[in-house]
Amino acid sequence: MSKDFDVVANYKSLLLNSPELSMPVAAIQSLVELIKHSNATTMSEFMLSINVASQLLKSSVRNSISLSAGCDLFLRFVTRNSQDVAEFEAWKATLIVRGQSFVEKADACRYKIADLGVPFIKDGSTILIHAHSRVVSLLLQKAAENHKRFKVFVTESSQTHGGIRSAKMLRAAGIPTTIILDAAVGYVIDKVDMVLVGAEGVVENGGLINQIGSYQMAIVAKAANKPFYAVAESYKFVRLFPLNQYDLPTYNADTLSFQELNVDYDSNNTDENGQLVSSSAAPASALSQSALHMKTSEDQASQGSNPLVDYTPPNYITLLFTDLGVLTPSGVSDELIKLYL
Amino acid sequence: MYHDANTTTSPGGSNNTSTVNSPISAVSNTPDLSTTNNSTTSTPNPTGSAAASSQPRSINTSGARSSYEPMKSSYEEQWGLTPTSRANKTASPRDGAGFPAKEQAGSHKKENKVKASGLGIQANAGSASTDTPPSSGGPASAGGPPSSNSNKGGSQKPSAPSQKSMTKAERRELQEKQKAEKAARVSAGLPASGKKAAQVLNPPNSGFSPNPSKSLATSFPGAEAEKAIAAAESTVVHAGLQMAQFKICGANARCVATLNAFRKAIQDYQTPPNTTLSRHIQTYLNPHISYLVTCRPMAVSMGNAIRYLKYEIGKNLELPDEDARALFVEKIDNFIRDRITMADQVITSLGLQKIQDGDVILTYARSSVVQGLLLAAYAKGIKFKVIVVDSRPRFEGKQLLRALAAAGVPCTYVLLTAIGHVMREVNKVILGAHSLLSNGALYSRAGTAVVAMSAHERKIPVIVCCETYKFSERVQLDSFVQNEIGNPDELVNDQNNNFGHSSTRCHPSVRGSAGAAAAGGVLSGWKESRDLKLLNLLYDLTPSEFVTVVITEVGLIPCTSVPVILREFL
Repeated sequence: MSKDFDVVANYKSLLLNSPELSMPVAAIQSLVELIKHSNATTMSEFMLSINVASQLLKSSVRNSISLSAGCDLFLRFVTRNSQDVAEFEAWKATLIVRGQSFVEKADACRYKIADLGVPFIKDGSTILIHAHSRVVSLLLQKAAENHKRFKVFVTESSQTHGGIRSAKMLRAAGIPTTIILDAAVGYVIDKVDMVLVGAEGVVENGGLINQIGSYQMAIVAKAANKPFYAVAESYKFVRLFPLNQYDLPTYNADTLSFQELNVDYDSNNTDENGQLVSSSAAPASALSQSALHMKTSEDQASQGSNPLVDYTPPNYITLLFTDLGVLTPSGVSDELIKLYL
Repeated sequence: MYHDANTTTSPGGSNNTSTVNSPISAVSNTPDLSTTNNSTTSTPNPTGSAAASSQPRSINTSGARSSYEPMKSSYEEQWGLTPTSRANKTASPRDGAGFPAKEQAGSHKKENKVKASGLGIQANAGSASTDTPPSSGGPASAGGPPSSNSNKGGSQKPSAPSQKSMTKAERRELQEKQKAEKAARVSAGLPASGKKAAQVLNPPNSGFSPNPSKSLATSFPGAEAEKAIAAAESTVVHAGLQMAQFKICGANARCVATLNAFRKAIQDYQTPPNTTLSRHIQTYLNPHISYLVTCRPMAVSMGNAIRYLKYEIGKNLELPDEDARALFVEKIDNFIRDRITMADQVITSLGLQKIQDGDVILTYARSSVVQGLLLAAYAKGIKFKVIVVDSRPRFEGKQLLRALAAAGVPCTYVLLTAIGHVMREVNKVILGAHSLLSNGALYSRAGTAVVAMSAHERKIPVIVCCETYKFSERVQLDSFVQNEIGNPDELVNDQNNNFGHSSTRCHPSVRGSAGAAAAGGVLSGWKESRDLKLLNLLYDLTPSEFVTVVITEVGLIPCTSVPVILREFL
């Protein structure tokens, strides 16, 4: 086992160095690095080390659905390729090469998706997007390059400031963008022609797991009869089948739990309601204070009384743009069944 | 008996109606699109494969996929998870009975052609070499050739040993043998031609025969054979009668009873002269099947099992008698073991993941799979409550209630009329199924649709537990086009069929005026009334949008994926 290779550290440095790299791809790359540095001499030792590393990665990140999906896919890839091992070292070498091309393919996914999605952006349309998704931004940039004229509303997503990042990227590409409050989705829906979101994960029934707020937008879009499109690379397909919002692995008893009444609000308590007003502080500063608390709590691996992701059932989703093609939600499940069963 | 009031059938016929050309076209949950027939719209080719996929998954103009190609997941191709290791894939749990490997399709080109005409996709129908069948160890049509094919008893390829392949001496020998047989026939007073003689001895059955014993008797001249008939008949007759009286009810129980009866029939079967067991067994079994149908209309589960059996028989026409007998018995045993018993166990283990502490689970009537799941969950130590919903006239839920209460599960029992009241505190609904149709609809005990709709309205997840052998290629949009009519007298609320409950509680004034009639129930005079008919439907249809997830032995699937399972594995 290669104890000297810290897969988590490698993963984190990868993310730091290339901000455009998505989490699952970085994770897979770290695993390939692990293979390169692996001192394992037998198959079982090797597989064990990869499994352990993958578990480490999954537990190091708080919101790990897309990361889990990527790791599981890579593990399956390794397993499938390990059926006929003649000579261990030679096989390891081929695996590294194949692993590298796997990473490249994964990285190239979003360009394929952008190409597929561009025809759906009509000239003169208005699009509503949610927070910051690299694939969505890429798709819109491609559409702009293709000389389509359109406007974008982006939700602020105040916790993560994703909306601001998105707006910067899109404005740099020459797309008129306006940031709206998260709460103003219903207000603005009648002005838009379609809703476009990214994905953390796509579940077995074609439903979507994405940053909190996506489900809301999907419901509003359905009520307003606007199409709701999701953009997801195929390595984000996960083997989950949530029955409802609370059947996700990210849900635990602490999520949105009610705090004790006599808790000390001044100290670091991540309450969801704006009633973090301590007796002396004015409401405004208390809210910003709560925002701060939220932020610091995000750095901790275990806390989280507010969920970071939500689940959108498949009946709200019109189409999914993936690198396998443009699929309906039931088409996603067809693909997964053919793969797994 | 009342069962003569038979099923109402769709214009196309019974269970065996071949469906729309592409089952996929019936499945779509995005109504606001025009191109929803297939999962990939006709955008620039889904390029997702670096590997050489020999044919893009083209969609021809009719919207049906080109059917000679095994469906591969482009997800698989994209990430290089395919073929090299397929051939070496070890221990697919689906090897063995119930899932004959697709490679054997070579000798079944005939079946392939019929199948490919609309349903099911078989490998080896001329596909390129890179297209190894998606799961080499995996299942092919365990449900057997669809529709009309099965009624002809599988592909009957006559296979007289080709005379060209024999040496001159062998040919000589064969001729001598045939001459001797002919002489024997003539002296016995039968027509000289071998075919006609066989016909005289074994009059072919066209299916329905009102007196099964008669046709069976003509198949078996000989006293000792008659004993065998009596024994065999008794099992099938026994099973049929029990089904008719609802002593055996429920899709799994009926299917197992049928298969057990057939197993006995095959074991006791004596081959008549001039034919072999595998050639004749279908003709032998057909009157049994017809008899069962007259007792109670065929369940989808039974139909699929019988179709599988006939498929296996059709595949093994060349086996010597004893081998064939042993093989068929083994196939039956394996079917029960793999597709029912083991499937139930897998469903239970998958379903356990979805039951948590504190759940209030609602179930309707009695499903054997749901019963198993709830008992297993309780045995595992999960703390939950069960609400059993039941209805007239069968009150099947009482049986489930007894079983759960005996195990110590906290239960509540209500009738269907109280569903609106109890649904408020429920957080999961678990239902059983008689069958799942290709449009994702659930065909189950009458009343299920009400329960599912009620749950859906309150956004309570509806979980259906169904083994894959109950999947049907049929598409049905409402409960009337195909259903089973039960005994209308069961609806009359009188002493005789109230299973020991108190008779109608008429208001005293009503009782007084109705007099003798009321003592037997208000409806007891319905037959005399010209304008009154009683309708006792046994099943109903739940649309797919009310079902959240289906737990099968292949995993958790959305109910719209039923045709995918049928296409890929059955």
